[in-house]
Amino acid sequence: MTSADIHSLAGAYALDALPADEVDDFEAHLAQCRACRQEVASFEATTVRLSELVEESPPASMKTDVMAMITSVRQDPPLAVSDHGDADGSDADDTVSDPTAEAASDPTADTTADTVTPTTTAAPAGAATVTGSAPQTRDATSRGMTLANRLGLGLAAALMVVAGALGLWATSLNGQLQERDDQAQQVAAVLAADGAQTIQVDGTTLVIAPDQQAVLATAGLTAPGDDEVMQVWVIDERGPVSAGLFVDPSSPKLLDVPVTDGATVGITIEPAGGSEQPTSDPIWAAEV
Amino acid sequence: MAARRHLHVVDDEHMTDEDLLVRTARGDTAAFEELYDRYSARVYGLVKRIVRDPTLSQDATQVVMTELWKTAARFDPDRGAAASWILTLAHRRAIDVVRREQSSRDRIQRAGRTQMERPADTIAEGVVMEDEHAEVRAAMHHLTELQREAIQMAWFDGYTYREVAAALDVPLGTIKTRMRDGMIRLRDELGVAT
Repeated sequence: MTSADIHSLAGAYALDALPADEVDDFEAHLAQCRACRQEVASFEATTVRLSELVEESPPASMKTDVMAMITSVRQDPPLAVSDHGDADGSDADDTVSDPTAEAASDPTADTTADTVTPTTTAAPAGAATVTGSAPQTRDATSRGMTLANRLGLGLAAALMVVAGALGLWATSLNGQLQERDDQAQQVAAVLAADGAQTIQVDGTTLVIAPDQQAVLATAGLTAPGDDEVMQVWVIDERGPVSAGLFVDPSSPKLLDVPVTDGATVGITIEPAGGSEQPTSDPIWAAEV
Repeated sequence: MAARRHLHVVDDEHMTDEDLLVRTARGDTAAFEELYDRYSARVYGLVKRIVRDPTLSQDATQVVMTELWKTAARFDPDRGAAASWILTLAHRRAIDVVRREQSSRDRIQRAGRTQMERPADTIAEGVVMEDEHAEVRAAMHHLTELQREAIQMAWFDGYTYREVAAALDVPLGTIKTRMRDGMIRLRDELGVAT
């Protein structure tokens, strides 16, 4: 695909009309194309205006339900730039393929849903044993599940309904789905950030937002073997800190730690699962 | 104290959406309630336009609003408007529901049916008739028919550009281009700040 072709996808991307398999490519392009980032942001502001045309008030009872629901939903902590800084090896593993998992990305979402079937089917039983929950909460849950079953919705959608009705955001399953969304949003935010700095070395691009969150997109770098993996490091005066594993190089990687001014970002090949400290010379590096 | 509390309520009403979202992130339920009042109709309307089933749309809207409460801390006012953030979340949640609902083939067929059953400019003619939307409807009218259809089917029906191309029997490249130049025209006509 020529760059002129991919540039034309900005409209479809902002309209959420790119199929999952094309989102990654376009986001890699976004990392390198400031004009596209600005265009996408302006299109998203335009879709806000479009949405005015279909305004419709929900039933008044929904407000009561939602206000009651949020009292049992724990809020995410503030998103400090070091949010991922305390990620250990296993956490880093989780985040590897996530940055690219767009909300509407069917194949990846389905994979997750498949792996968590037991949790999902357990949810209604768990809901029934909740004591002291308001009657309408249970009703909403069973209605949601029945409806989901009747419509043959996928597991993730069914879970979404149940989780929404119960406020069960703490379930690990939903946490995973949520995290993927958040990651995708964070990648998009970095790429679209005003004043983001773009550094390109050998076809691999590093984009650093003013808040020091960074995204790495590579063209051509891969880990040589199945039992090896690319690991990203941020190296400052205190030495190298792991910024997570880079398992799927076809998609942009949100770094787990902030990239400070004057730091060096490097990629090394490490044994599967990653290392505490780099064990080989970098195959790629860029100075910020 | 009573006066201060009163002042606080007035503040909520006059606060920007961005301020409200930032306050929501700190656990301010009054700020969240004001956000709910401002956005529930836009969120529900958009979700229902895509999902169609009212009960499922209500459930999905509750999920969106609850998720808004949960993830408010992730909103960074320096990176964009609260409206974009909230409606992008709503649109993606609605699409999550419909893209799992049916196979791609089914949806292409339905897209074709929808297109035949429904005049192309239903949206532009105005599902909502308030004058405040006249500007947006007028901007939609100034698009070419293909631009308007492509944008409507993507944003209001949740179809991918490939599905839109199949439904309208137009080459993929043409649809991609029409979505983009249509959005450029809409943006410029509406004077959307970038």
